[in-house]
Amino acid sequence: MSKLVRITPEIRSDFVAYLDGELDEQSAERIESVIAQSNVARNDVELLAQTYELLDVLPQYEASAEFTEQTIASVRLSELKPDVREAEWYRQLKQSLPLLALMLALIGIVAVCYLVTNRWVTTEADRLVQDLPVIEQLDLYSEVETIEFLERMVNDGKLLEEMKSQAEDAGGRR
Amino acid sequence: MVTTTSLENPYLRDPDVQLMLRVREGQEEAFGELVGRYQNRLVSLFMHLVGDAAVAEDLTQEAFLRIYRARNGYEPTAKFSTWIFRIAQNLASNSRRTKGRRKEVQLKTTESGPNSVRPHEQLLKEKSALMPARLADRGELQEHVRLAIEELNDRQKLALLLHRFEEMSYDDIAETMELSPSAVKSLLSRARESLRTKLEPYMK
Repeated sequence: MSKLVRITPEIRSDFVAYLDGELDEQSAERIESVIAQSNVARNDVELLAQTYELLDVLPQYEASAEFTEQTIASVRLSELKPDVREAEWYRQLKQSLPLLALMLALIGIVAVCYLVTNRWVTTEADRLVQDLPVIEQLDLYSEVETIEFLERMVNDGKLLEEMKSQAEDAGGRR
Repeated sequence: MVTTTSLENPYLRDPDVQLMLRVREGQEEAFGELVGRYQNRLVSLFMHLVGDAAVAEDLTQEAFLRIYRARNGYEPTAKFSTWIFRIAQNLASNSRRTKGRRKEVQLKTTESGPNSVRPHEQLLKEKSALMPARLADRGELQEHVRLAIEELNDRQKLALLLHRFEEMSYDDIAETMELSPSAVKSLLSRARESLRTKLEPYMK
């Protein structure tokens, strides 16, 4: 009389491994015990075994009669025209590709950083170079005293003329 | 006997590994012997995986070419069969991807040329006088089994074929397919359960 044994998915998943002799001793004993107690389990295991046997009806194929010769010939041909992928230099290049890629990426990052800082970040020296024309004329500009006076000089032609004549007069007196 | 590799290496006991080491040393006849040992096994595997005789032979030849090209850097770090069937797995999956892209129409085995792959079944039929009705029954059953396998996913199919026809252990299948043994156990369990469901009606 078969006892009522619950066949859990875990037990069911062990049926095939049991049939293949791939279970450890303890697991195999557990499956044997389940099979002994359950007609359903026994039937399942038998069907799994029988349906697997059906695979024997599948044809086993053979290579054509010329296959070996053709393969050896193609191997000889590949020797005459060696595959570049099998060359030592190619293999070494392939192996060092990650390192090369890393180096290129680093160089790229450095170049981008340099360009960014050079283009958008202004240093003290940049400011000095930029202001050099003004610095060179600093003595002259300091006499002007105010920006308002300069603006007046540019906009008011008379004032400029007046200043010129005053300068000439001062020069003549000297 | 090759002395360059440590004798502690367990794979050196594999006769195919010994042949491959001879190939590495430039002995072409050793390569011919490897081709002879594996050609039908690979053709058969590819036939079940890609279902086309011409493609199966091409892939088998490509597998041998890869083996040969890799000979100089060869180190026995696995059984030879594990290595060659791993190459076969990669080739089959590349072929399926290409086939998927091209949407090729699959040809039946019988439509191939006169020099193409021939099943044992056909050879047997030619040699013996089996009853036609029995052959028809067997052919029908064969078709059901083929369809049941066809419906498995690629990994289940390969694991099943390696186990059934190459008699590989779960550990070897795991190494070939770069999976854990428990993953192989699960793949095979699901594959066999699927076969059971589909083929149960044909059990006598």
